Parts: sequence; C-alpha cells; structure tokens
Amino acid sequence: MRAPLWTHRRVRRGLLIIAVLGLAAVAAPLLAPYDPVEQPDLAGSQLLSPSLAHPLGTDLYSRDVLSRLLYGARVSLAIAALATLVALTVGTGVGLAAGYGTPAVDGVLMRLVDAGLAVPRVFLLLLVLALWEGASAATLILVLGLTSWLPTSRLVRAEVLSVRQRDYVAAARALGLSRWRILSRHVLPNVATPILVSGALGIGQIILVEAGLSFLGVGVPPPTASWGNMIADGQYHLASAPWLAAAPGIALIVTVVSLNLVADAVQDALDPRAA
Amino acid sequence: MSHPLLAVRDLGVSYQTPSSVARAVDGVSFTIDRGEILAIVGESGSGKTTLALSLLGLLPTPPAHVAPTSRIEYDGVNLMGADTAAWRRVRGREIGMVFQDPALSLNPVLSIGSQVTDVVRAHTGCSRSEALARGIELLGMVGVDGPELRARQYPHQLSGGLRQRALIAVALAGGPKLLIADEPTAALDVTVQAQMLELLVDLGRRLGLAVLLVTHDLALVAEVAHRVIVMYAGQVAESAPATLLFARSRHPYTRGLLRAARALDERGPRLAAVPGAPPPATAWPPACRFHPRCGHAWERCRQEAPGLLAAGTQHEARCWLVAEPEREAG
Repeated sequence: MRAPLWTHRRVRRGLLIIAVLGLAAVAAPLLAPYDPVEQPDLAGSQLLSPSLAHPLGTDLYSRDVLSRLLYGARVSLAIAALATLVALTVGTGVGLAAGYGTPAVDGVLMRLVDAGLAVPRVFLLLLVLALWEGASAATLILVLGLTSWLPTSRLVRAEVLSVRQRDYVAAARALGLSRWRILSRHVLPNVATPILVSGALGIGQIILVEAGLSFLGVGVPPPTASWGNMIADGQYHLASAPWLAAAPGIALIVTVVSLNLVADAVQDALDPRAA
Repeated sequence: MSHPLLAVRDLGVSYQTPSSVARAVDGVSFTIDRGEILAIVGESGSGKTTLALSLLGLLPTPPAHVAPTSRIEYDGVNLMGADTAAWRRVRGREIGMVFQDPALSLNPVLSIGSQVTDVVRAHTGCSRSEALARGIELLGMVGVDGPELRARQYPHQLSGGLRQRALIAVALAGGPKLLIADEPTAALDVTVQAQMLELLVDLGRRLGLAVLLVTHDLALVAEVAHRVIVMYAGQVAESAPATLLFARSRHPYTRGLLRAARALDERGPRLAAVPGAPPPATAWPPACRFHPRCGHAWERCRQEAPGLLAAGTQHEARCWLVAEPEREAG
C-alpha cells in the first residue's frame, strides 16, 4: 500500500502551518481577546501601537487588530477553500469531458475556455459583483469558483489526452471495461496529482484575489473583517500605523507560501515511483 | 461446434494518411480452433499489430478504415460493423488480450490485485471479496508466488517477468476462450521469454484456451505453436502447421527468416539476412510484393501477383514457385 500523504515530511510541515492557521480561524471566538466588530471607545484607543493589551495594536475604530485578524482568517480561508472546491470540481469535470470526449466536444469546450481566459479575471469579477446586488459570502464563493476553473480544465484535459494514449487504457478497453470505469479507475487517478497541486496553488491564488476584491471594496463588506479589507483599511495609515496593513499582509504571505510548499511536496509525494 | 472459434475472412485495414493510403492489412483470412495455438509472424510494419487490434474492434477509425467486405466471425457470429455494446461483450469475456510492454500496460497507481479484480467484476458482477479471491487465484495460476502479497503491491514493485504474469492474469480475468498475445515477450530477457511461452502453452492446455501469438520471432514460436502464419507486406505469405513450416517451407521469405534464425545458432562467418528492407505500406511493390527482395524472382513475379497456392494439406504459400517448382533448382 502507498503510505498516506501525511507521512511525508515536507507535506507534514506545510500542512502543519496550514493546520495552525486553520485552527486559529476555527477557534477565533475562543482566541480573540476582543470583539472584532464592536467599536468600544472612539476617543481614547484609536490607532494604538502594539502593546500587551493589544498585541497587534488597534485600528481607526479602536478595534483590536489581532481579533480582526483571527476572524478575518475564518472569512478569507473559508471563502478561498470553498471557491477552490467549486473551481476544481468544475475544472476537472470539463477537463475530463474535453480530454476523453469526442473531438467535437473537446473543440467546443476548449474554445469556450479560451474565450473565458481572454477576459481579464478581475474585470469580470468586478463586473459580476457590481451588478449582483448585496453580494453575500455564498455569492462571492460561487463567483470566485466559477471564474477560477478555466486553467484547471486545461491542465486536466492535457493530462487526460496523454493518459488516454497509455497502453493501460488501451488494455482496459481491450478487456471490456466500460467508459465510466476506465475514466474513474484508470484516467482520473492518473491525473489526480496535477489536480491536487493546482488546487493547493489555487487556494493561494483565490485568497489573493479575494483580498484584492475586498481591497477594491466589492468583496467582503465591512464591518466583517477579511484580510483583504483589513489591508485596504490599513493603506491610509501606512506611515502612522503600519501594523494595520502589515499584520494581515504577513498572514496572507505565510498562508500562500505554505500552500505552495504543500503543493510542491504533494506533487513529489504522489509520484508512485518515489519511495 | 462445427464452426471454428474465430474466423477472419478477407480482412482489409487501411490507414488514411494526409498524402496517401497505407494498406496495412490486405485480404487476410485465417481461423483459430478451440485450444489451438496459432502464431502470426512478421517483421515490423507487416501489419500484425493492426491485425491483432482489429480483432477486438480497437482500431481508431479514422485514421484506420476496415474494408466493408471483411468479416470477423467469433463463434459463428460476424462482429464486423457491430456496435460498441456487442464489442464490449466480446472484449475480455470472450477474447482477452496481452499487450506488448508489461511496464506500460499496467496502471501505475492501482495495485495489481485491483487491476485483476476490476476486470473480474466487469464481467461477472460478483462481490468485491469474491472478485478478490478470484483475482488471487488467477495470479497463482499464472505462476505469481505469494499472490496475496503481490495483489497488494503496485506495478513498479514487480519485476518484468512478474508484471507480464500479472498482465496475463488480468487478461484471463474475464474468462476468455481466446487469448491474443501481441509480442508478449518483446520486453523480456531471454530466460524469462521461454518461461512466458511455457506458461501460455500450459494455460492453453489447462483452460482449453486458444492462443493467438503475434510475434516477429519465428524461432521463438517453433516449439509452442500448432500452426504458423507468416505475414509479409500486409498479406499472408505462408501458412502451415508448425512442423511442416520448419521442415518444408515453400516461400522464399519464410526460408530467409528461418535461415536468419538458424544462423544465430551456427555461428557462421556472416549473419544470414533477408536482403533489402521491408517496403512501406503506402507503396507495396506491384505484382508479387516480395519480388524485389527475392533471389528466385523471374518475369512472372514482376507481372502477376500470386494468390495463396496450396502446397500440401493445410499448407499454402503466396509464391509462384509452388506452381512452378522446377524453377527452384536454379
């Protein structure tokens, strides 16, 4: 049997960081010292620098930055993870259909993907979110997911095209296995590695895009904290209170880098020839 | 039981290339009886792999085109022009196939056991545990020792010979009556080659399995095949019972192959070979397709294509020498 993924040291390290971040997000209500939204005392405690009472300082509305960072992690990570799930599902489905279907199906699907990729993603997102009244977290997930599957579908299609030429697929056909069985047992497992890797990279991407949208004011609406709108709020006080943008910024970088590390390690770990 | 297990009649397969048409298989007919071991021998490009694939309806069309008059009769039923569902009832369940390279023909991410089990379940609809038991039994039958352990291993953990055995077990998992083996020994070293042929013969005997052995190695099939068909340029050049073919071959091409094989044993000063190179399938030579490489060729061979001429009981050769044996002296 192949060893489970988490027995690989590099996968474990990356996953450990992500797990800590994820746990912090999940346990935000327990960990956060203050309420992230409530604006207690506007006069006395605005833009305080980091201290024992407020380890990451406070923002313009006297809110504790650490608390907002923890609650923001929940929003940012959950939106990114779910949107990536949507993107992977759609992308894998379209990629399998294009790669294993008839040339006509392949042609139509891939031209649609080409057309989709020709539209700048942030522009598309801005358009949809601007037209969509009162974007909730669910719509944001859907919109992010449905605009992110295009590269995955191409990747999967390319892998499927190469896998379907392999002798073991020909052998499976020669032995009378059905199309579905060949697709699910022989093709899908052999394209799983690039899918997982593109997923791990995709989460990082989507966190950044969500941060960008919130930064531009169409993502997660205030007063709910997300890393993106925290950075957006912080930009006006970069000189006087740099911790406002730095805290969510660093959190963002750590998350994306460790996701990339995991993606890289997963790729190596899933290679059945490596021990 | 009056009809043979598999009868191929006038099979023609051509490939459409951008500039021309390649007639890879041209008017090939043969039959295989239950339990018979038939070898099809030919050099690269003689059409043998195309032939093997067409027997399972696995040729990609296009670019391949099967002549409409071709017939492939399995157990008396013509499969040519049958729909996918009819082909799938034959694939694996009636005709099993062992591919050339065991390293490439096993899925690297599935355990050996699940690859055998998948095929068992596709054809019998039995439960997972029953299928696994059957799979382990099959692995044992093809000479994999410790089949329970091997079933849990992945292809890269097995040696070349074991992989080939596992591949044969997978091919047998649907309970076929005919096994097509396309160059089953090409990727193996010589000692393992002999074991593998022994296994095929043994399986044929024990299971009443007919075996169609496709190979380029004439010497290899000498001891195992009941009948041998030699292919040249997409056509049957000679067809005879194995003993007869080795003792009294009538086609100059077959003799050339035999000489080349024997020369290896005798260590002559120079390796005997058939002169020239096999012609491309897009431009077969006119009349007799072998005449440019033939030491006996005369005017008739350049003018008129010979048919398969009877050279004895069950012995046919596509050569004018059969009609004019006196020419052979010179």
